[in-house]
Amino acid sequence: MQITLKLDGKAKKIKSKAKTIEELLKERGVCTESVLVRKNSKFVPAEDKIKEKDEIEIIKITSSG
Amino acid sequence: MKCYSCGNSAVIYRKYEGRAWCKNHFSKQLESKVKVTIRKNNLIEKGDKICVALSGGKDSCLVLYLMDKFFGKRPDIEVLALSIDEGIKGYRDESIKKARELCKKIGIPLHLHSFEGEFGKTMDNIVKKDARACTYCGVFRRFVINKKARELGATKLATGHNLDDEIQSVFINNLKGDINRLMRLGPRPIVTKKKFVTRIKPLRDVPERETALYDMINGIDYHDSRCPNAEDSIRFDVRKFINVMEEKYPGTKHIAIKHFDTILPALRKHFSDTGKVKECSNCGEPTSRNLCKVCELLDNIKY
Repeated sequence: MQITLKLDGKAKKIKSKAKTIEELLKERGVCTESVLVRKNSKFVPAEDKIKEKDEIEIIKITSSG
Repeated sequence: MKCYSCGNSAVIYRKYEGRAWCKNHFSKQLESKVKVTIRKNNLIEKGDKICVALSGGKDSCLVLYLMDKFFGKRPDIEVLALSIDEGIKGYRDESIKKARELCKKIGIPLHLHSFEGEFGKTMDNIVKKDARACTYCGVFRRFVINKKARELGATKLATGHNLDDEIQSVFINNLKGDINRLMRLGPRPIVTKKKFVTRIKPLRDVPERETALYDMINGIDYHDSRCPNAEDSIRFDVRKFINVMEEKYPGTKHIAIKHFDTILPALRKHFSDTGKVKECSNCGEPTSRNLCKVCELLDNIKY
């Protein structure tokens, strides 16, 4: 399945076997607790399903430290 | 996923409670959670002048927004904002811009002070003399915030510390064996001597990713960038570890903070004699030592 992945403001088309955003994050080694996700420009839970041509945006949460 | 309450599209699924929420119900839930924290711990009382320490980041912007939303129309409570410009070009000037915009939007007065005005030095000057940027910045910032809040007549100093910040601090102080700092944490403010403005943390029960989500879906425009001087300290490793634990075992953060709150009264009782507050022999500000940390650090960089 091909989807568009947006990370750090850059979008690229990728192939993934992930059925949900959570699985996609796992594939890429991203902890769900440290990000928010948008699917096709709308905030969604990471547990949402993904389908062909979806645009998934990963928003890293910045901590002041 | 659908909202547990109304069936609309969910924006978040809280694994720790097993429920998904839409934009409106998530926002209401978060607001209720903060109100409960305030009420349960008597954080705000009649006649309070609440000074919000506003950096322009996601957490402090949310605290100011909610303090105004909850108390802005109360005739017996005053809300104001205080920002400190540490003098970090390209970073703090940008975040203060966001702080200004939010204050203007909701009609809250912003009081701005700087390291340069207070100490005659900016952080950009200091890092050229000593690489321990976070040590200087943290100590100086807490000093100026407390001093200026007190001069403004504030009775409460509200900070943006969220659940993640608090549990990280509990872990760090345990790892370092720092009992005094550990005892200063907790849901209720410790009322100390008159020169310290009582600090409150209204977001203490809200996970970090929820403060960011609330801001984004409610149009609170905050500054989203990491300080260029930030060191990869123990906090960053602890943050990563706790997030992995929360992902694997949902509810970890809430359970850990609840456990800490349970044992805190016993800790404070047992170690009650430590951390007495005196006045600095040089500047007169409150400290647990003869010469406060600010005066000591200023002495290091006087040349």
